[in-house]
Amino acid sequence: MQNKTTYSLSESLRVTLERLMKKDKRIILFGEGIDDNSAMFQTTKGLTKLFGKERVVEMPLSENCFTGAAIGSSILGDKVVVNLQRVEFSLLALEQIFNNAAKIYYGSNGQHMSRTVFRMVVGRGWGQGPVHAQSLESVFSSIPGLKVFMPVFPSEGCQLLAEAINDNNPVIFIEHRWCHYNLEKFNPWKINLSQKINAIKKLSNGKDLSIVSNGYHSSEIFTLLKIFKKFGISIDHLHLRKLNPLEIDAVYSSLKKTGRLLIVDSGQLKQGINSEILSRVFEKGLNLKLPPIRMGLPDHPVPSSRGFIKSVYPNYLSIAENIFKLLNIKKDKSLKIFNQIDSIIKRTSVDVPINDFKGPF
Amino acid sequence: MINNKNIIKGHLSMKMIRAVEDEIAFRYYKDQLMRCPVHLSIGQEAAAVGVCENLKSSDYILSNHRCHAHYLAKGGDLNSMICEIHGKANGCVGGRGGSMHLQDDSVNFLGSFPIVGSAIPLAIGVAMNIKRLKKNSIVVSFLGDGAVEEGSFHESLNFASVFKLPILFVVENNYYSIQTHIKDRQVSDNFTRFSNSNLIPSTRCDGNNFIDTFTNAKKIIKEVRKSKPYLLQLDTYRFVEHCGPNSDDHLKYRDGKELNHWLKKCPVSHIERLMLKNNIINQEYLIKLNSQIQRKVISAFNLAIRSPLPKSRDASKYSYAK
Repeated sequence: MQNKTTYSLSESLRVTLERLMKKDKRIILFGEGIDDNSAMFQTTKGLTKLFGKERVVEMPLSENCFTGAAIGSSILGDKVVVNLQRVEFSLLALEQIFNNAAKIYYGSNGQHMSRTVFRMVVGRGWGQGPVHAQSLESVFSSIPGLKVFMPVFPSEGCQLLAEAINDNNPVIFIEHRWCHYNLEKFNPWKINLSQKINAIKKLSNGKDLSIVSNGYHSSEIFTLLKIFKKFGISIDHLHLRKLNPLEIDAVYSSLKKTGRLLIVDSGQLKQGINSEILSRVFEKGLNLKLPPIRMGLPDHPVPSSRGFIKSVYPNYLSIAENIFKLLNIKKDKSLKIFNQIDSIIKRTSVDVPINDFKGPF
Repeated sequence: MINNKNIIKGHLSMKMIRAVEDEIAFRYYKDQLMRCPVHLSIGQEAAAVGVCENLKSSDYILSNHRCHAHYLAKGGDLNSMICEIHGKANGCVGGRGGSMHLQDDSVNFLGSFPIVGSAIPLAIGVAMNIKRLKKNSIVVSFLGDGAVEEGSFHESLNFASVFKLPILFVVENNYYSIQTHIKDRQVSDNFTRFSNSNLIPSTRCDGNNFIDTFTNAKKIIKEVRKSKPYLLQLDTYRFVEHCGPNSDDHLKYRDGKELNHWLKKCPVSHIERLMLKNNIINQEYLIKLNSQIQRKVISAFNLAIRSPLPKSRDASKYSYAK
């Protein structure tokens, strides 16, 4: 397997877990279904065989208990990765995460640490519905003591996971299910895992507009901007992959250059990360040429049927429309761009990440 | 199963805890210097001491909001505790926690966690670490009758049983969740029904009787050291209000007969009478002991009163570990 050249995010995460666990015996995994055939979307596949049932521990359905157990064993020096197949399962364990994981270092006056990583998957498509598709990253980001990372691209996935596991704080590690399919040409067996990466990565350089995005939308916008570039539209695209603590100096310097801002947030629009970014931009007193635009999830649950989906998630077309608005792009030019966008939407249906996806999760 | 040395040591520990908490109660409203909620264990000393006297310093314990007795019984530093309750910088967690967040790593008192039921899963994690790394320790999770109603307790029993963990659940049953009697909260006050259903062996005994508690705990802890979970239910009673220094019996939520029954069963005077009767100690010993204890207690309070408060500029310190 080591002579492959292209890896998906899920393959990359698996390789990283294996590399880290080989090096550090204190790393253990807790989870439900981490040793079955789906193996946490293939990200923990084969790890039990390599490291044994004492380090890859299949759990009773007790999210509250095993989250607390992860914190308890980390007090004694373990580094525990808790694997949750959907964000929503963590809701059964919020008491432990908010009261103990987030506060043990502070409350013990720096004597105890919760070296824990909570991997949580955000579902989308194939009818996931109201409680299998929530983006709660802003909820976790609002709690002091927690760090929140959100990988999108495979190589950064490796680096973020390594950083999360080696961090002395609890890290909420949110993986959008559709990002698992993102591909990148690189070697996850060779990538440097000890280097910390910046909270924001600039995915494209431009002077006309600043786009700040996170989660799955970052990969959509990455693709979208290749088309805009062909039309001579130059956009600064800032991909936010560490949501808490929030460090957005790169946004300020980008805005000084462009004066126009679009935020595309994978989470809730209301009181989301986007709101925090915009508040800080205002506090900085930066002069914007036009009112900024925010995009995110609407103020209602995510429905199951694909019939609803177009008006739920920001998508290529709605993002493009907002770019036209912020840049005053005339109708004839925007139509040409729309035509090109049509050609990149390779998905045949709005409710699958790739055409090969046949369900169910 | 118990010798005179054990009894003398246990008695000393119980006397110390009682004296500390009596002093807290006496000064709490008068001094206005312990500005945090306190949940006193007055009346419940035998439970904490009877268990902890059977533990090694390498054994771990985790506790709840009513934690002073557990902390001191495990050997936690008195001065650090009194300073913490006074909110001082030299408290056991630097004034960040107060009475409900005690901790002393030097004696493996891993901490008290005041949200009812919250510490039990943490103790499970400690037990998993002990077992995986084959450490020569056990963990004791102290909880009350209220915590038995929490989901975390039931999840943890299942865990302990499935993974065969070296954990002892000590359930102190003081019959009340604040002011609500157990009969209004559960169909039975016998918690061994929960351990039974999880195939965990259990014992119920009089938690105000130090000798009973000690001997049962001794026998049980021997089993727990073989990596077998166990539940010990200790029936006991708190002599003052749920939170605070005073009696609240004028509120009449506790039945007068019940109250008198338990007041007569004071764990400290019970063991003391027994020791005097059997000539293990004499009055002279007691007088000397009382003054020794009083000196230690007063010196802890004096230290706390003259110690500095933490600096407000340090409020954000320890929000994230480097």
